[in-house]
Amino acid sequence: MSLLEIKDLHVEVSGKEILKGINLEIEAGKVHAIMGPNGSGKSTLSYTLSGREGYNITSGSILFKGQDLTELSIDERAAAGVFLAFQYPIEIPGVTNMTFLRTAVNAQRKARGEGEMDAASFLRFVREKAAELKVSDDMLKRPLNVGFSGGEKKRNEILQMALLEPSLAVLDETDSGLDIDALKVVSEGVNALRDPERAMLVITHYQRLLDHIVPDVVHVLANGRIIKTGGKDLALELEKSGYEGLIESAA
Amino acid sequence: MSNTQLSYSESQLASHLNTQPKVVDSEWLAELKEKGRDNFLTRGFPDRRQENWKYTDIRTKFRDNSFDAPYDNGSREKSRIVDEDILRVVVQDGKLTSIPSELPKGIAIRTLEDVLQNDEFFLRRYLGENRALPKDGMISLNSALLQKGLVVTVEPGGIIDQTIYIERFSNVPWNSIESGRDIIQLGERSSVKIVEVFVSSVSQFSLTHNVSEVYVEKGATLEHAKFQLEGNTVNHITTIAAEVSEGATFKNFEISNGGDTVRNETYVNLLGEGAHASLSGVFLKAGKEHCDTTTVVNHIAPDCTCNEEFRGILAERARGVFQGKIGVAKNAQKSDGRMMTRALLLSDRAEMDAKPELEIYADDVKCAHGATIGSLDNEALFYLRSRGIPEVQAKTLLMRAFVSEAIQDFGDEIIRESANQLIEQKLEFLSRGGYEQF
Ligand SMILES: Nc1ncnc2c1ncn2[C@@H]1O[C@H](COP(=O)(O)OP(=O)(O)OP(=O)(O)O)[C@@H](O)[C@H]1O
Ligand SMILES: [Mg+2]
Repeated sequence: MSLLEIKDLHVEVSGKEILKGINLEIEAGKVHAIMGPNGSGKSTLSYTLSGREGYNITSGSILFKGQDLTELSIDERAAAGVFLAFQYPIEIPGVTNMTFLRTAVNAQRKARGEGEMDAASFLRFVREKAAELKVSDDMLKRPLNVGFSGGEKKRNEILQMALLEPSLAVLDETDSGLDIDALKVVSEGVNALRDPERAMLVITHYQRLLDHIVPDVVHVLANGRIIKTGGKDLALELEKSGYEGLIESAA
Repeated sequence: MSNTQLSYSESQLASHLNTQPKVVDSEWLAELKEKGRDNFLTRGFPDRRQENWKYTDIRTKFRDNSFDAPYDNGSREKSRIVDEDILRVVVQDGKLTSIPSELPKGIAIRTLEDVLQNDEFFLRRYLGENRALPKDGMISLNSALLQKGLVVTVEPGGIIDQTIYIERFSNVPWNSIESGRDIIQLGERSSVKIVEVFVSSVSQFSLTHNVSEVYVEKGATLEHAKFQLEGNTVNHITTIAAEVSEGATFKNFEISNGGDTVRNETYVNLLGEGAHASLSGVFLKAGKEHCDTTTVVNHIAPDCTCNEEFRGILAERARGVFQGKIGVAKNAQKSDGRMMTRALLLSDRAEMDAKPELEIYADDVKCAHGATIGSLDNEALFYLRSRGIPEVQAKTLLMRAFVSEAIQDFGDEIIRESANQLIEQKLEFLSRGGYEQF
């Protein structure tokens, strides 16, 4: 059984069909990459998986660990192990990053019937992961994402992933806005989480990221459909020839 | 003595006022009460025809007596601050029932009756004499009913480190008015922190009406907080009138968590150069609850500053009102005034009216005001929930962040901590959908 099984998924946003029949299976332990032109529906797919309001599934199904994912609320999906690293992380004034991280970790532990982490052990846990991802103490103390640079926001997303240890991580353009060093740090962070029990769906426009996080499977999403699936070499091919030829031959 | 009934017509109330027994033999007080009665009979309960009461028509409110189903908010138990570093004073139905056997040097807490008997001279100087006190039907009625109250005085130079914590429990009969008049007088260069907590038992339709006359003399600092936590059938109107002298500071902070129709009035006269006032508050309302925050700050002397920061969250059909006025007199040059109010509406039936006003007669001043009314940020909510934080908890977190700015600069750690605890309970109630959840 695959970790994630998406069958003939159609999704409407504001009455407009954006996803037009997605079929996608991801096994535990695998890394899949999705590439595709702007506006093709990549973020829409990631939001649909997280259960965001306004993303209406008109037909098709999503099974996660054999369970109907669409029956779960946003936070239940997270507790079940779905994580989305946002393309544009949200700024929340008045809630410190630290408070947010602790609330999230403890909420998920509670939902899974595990005990909450006390303040001291959590601090140790966070400090260790933050150091690996070069997230400064200052960033932990500040209000969530407020005034963070683009790259800092992305590193903070990966810190959340490292703390929450999801079984399915969807990374929506985590590489955009990262400088060369940060890209390395983030990729190492992601690779450290590669695990036979865990799958990843990496959305990106650039081959560069896939040099660091080497995918098992690459899909091309265009106009709401997956029009091609291949190995890691597909990304190299796209880098050279672009999407146009592919889209034409699929049409 | 029979209790004063709210549902009396004003003329019935008049005959009731006429038959009140004498508190003590004081001609001066008898005259003051009589004047209050006469003025009340002319003015009556305020209603929407008065500009100042446009959004809070209490005449109609008291006539109709409508309120939400009683709900026990448990505030009486939860409001207790457990800390050895506070001085606890308990007032039950307006009567002083408990006071620490020893108060720090420099502070005195007495009842109005006591002061009337032993120091009428003091009362004549301060009672009803506050220049910031408004003239309306409510104040007149309060004068007419004058009997109960506290007088807190701090000697010149007295620095009181421990927080005075006044718990006011009211359990008055159905339909009655609990009326009180307090005086807080700080001598030159003195300072004190006072927290007043208003709680009640549930399901008594009544009115708590308290008027405080505050005098902050030269260079003194008063930090005053009010936690208003009464049950949801209690109406609550309090007026604080403060005279602030040269170089003195008056800080007032209020939480309005409970009650049915609530009006928090603060009137401040900045009378001496360099006087400062800081007014802040948080109101959290659901059901048909109504909360009116009315402030008037008059810059009378030059170089005075004021800062106002109010945050409100309104669920279901709750209604919030903010009327704020900063007045700057002709010679109050270099006045600096700032007034900000923000409200979050959790339902499309909730309502907020914000009316900030500036009335400036000097030419060299800095004054700013702003008001925003919005709803919970759905993107932020989605972000929090996508990390596994359940909806109620995520909403509570966002709401707490929203109100935190109005709390962070007030008082000491103990006061802020207890304020946060009280707010937390109501925020959770709001996040769960207010009264509709039952
Ligand atoms: N609320 C909305 N109302 C209408 N159309 C929407 C809405 N949200 C997204 N869309 C449309 O859905 C399409 C897919 O958007 P999506 O964000 O999924 O693209 P993407 O593949 O992630 O693009 P990018 O590479 O630029 O991030 C776009 O045409 C977009 O304009
Ligand atoms: Mg996108």
